[in-house]
Amino acid sequence: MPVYITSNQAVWLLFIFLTSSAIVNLPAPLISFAGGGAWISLMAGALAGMPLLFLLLWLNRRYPGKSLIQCGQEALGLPVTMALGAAYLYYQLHIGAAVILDVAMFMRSSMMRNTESYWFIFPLFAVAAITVRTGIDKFAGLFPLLMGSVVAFTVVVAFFSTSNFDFAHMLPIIPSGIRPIIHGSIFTFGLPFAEMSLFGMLLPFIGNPDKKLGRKMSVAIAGSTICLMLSTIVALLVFGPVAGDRKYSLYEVARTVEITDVFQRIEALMAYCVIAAAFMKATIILFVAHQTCIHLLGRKEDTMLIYPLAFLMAVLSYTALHEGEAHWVYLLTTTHMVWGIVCGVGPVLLIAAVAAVRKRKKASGSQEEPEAQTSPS
Amino acid sequence: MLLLDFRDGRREGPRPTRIKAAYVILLAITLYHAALTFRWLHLPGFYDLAAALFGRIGLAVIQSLGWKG
Repeated sequence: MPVYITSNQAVWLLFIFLTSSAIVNLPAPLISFAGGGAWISLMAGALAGMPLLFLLLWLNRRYPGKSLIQCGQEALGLPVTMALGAAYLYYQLHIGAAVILDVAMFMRSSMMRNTESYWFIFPLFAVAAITVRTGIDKFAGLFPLLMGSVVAFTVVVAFFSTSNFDFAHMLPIIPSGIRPIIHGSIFTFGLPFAEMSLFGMLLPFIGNPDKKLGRKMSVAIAGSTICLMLSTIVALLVFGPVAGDRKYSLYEVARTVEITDVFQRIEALMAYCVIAAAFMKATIILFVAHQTCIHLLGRKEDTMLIYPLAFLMAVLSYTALHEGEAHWVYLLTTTHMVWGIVCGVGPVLLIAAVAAVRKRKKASGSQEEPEAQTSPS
Repeated sequence: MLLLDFRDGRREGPRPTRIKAAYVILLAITLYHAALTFRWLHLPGFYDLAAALFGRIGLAVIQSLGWKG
């Protein structure tokens, strides 16, 4: 039986997907690239991500109830779609592995230094796989509650750290010219806005799309950008430009909180946020990867490939660290953005372009036909 | 969990051969990467391919933006 979600649940899923793990992981690398202008880079990255959302929504209207892979089959034919779908799946496997690896690296570097990373990676993927098996309607209902707690704890940490704010840290906003800002914008487009291309597989699950879906989803992107800007600005206000050198800067911000003897060492809240956020994002990615896989194989409903996909992502996640953490960070810095543009955004752009051309040809063909009928023979 | 799914017809009826083939391919890729992780094999893996495909372009882009590493 087909399972559907409401438009509002889809909007929540988009907000969760964009905000969840980025709220903790994004500020430090972004500040290290863009310095005091990190928040400007975030806005630019979000603006660059908006057209991608509109393209996905247009494709959803052009081919109602069809996933991106099915749209590709209609527009480009099976062989090209198989190639594009393989690239799309390649990107999804990477994001899924990276999201959970972030948790393992965070736990090993800050809270549980002597615990091997597989103790975090494999159980998290097992839980994500079980959640995917329960169905999108179940986790689309659950995740807003979890995300509410993640945002609430982040706001609590930001509020309690106001005594450590130094507004002079925000200046200068653009100390080294515009190039670091552009670098930050490209980085934020790669993480998390280019990842939005995965929603091409989720939009057909909206049973009765709302007429205001586009507007609501734009609001979700704006809300996510505001949350990410808040976490970046808080890290900048507390640590200044050196926030870029502190991995998981919001966790570090939480460590500085000390209000009387009651509110101190509240970093456990941020640890909860990291784990819950990564679980939600990994679940959505695993669901999308599974949908991509079965649509490429010409099936609509089949749960047989969920565990093998989760197992593969878990092993990839564990494998990624075998050449060291520095190599992984270098790899992410250099490849993630291009990977996202080529394998995530690329297929969406190509399918939308061909679909638009075909629509125009069809429209011009149907205009010529009546003219031919009315003209004297 | 993995084996539970493979029991043909246990829950959702028999599957087409292509689904079973995809299941086996996914497991084979997983085992290949497990072998790489334990250094039983010294061959390129998932991220080596990504670095070969996208690494140089990405590095060129960010170096042009003044990134010093």
